[in-house]
Amino acid sequence: MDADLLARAKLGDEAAFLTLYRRHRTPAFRFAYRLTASSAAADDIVQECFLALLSRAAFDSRQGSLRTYLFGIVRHLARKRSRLMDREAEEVDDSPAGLDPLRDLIERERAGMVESAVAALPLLQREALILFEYEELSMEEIAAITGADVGAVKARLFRARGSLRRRLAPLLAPCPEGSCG
Amino acid sequence: MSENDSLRALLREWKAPEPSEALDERVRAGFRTVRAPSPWARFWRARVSVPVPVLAAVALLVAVAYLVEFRPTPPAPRQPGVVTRLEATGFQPVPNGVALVEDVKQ
Repeated sequence: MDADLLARAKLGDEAAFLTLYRRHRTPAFRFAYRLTASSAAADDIVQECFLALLSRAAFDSRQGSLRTYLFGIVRHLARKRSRLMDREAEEVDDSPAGLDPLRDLIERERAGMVESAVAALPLLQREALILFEYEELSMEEIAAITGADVGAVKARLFRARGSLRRRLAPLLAPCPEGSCG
Repeated sequence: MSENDSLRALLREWKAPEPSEALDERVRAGFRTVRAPSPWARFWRARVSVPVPVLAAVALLVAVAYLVEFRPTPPAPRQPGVVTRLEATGFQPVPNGVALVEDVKQ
């Protein structure tokens, strides 16, 4: 179905292109947004992603779903942008520098704290976590998107969860009896 | 609730925004730019929108011009010939230079 729409879109069928776009834009945008923590950056990435699908990409439906394929393009574009902005962190950089959960808990909402904690993850861990927890992809799909093997994806996910538990410990701590309303 | 479950529940508190309508417009415009048809394709698919009164006026003008230019003209009336003679007796000049030669039966 997606492959047919894509073939028609490549021939200039705008309706087919828009159907494809509307079907996949939200997950692509969410993924881009969570990778970059910026709506403007996510807009740019999603636009470039769908246009790349028309002009350069060679999608093969036998090798996976279009959704997975789009996530791969989004990931590539986000990494390119991240390199350009010199924001890419090394995977070994797992220090909670500049993040004070107690102060953040006072100053920001819980969602803001989660966003900050996820954004502070190294890129490889972050993308594995986002794809697994938010986009609910399987380990195999994430491995295909990131070009890693399943074992590496599991390891990244394990480290990401460990980091998040440490960073978000104040929010994860069980409430003292009678204090959580 | 397991450790993973409680972390997952907390992570879900961070919601991503929905894509904006401005993005939809950008993507649509981008598609049209990338898939812009060639000049020949544009020419063959070109459409012209003309208000009906304007079209009727133009059609009327064309019809009138055609009728004026190509209306059937009746054959010119044949001028009556003037009979003259070669000898000087009773000679009459031919009017307007129109000469009509007739066989003269001897």
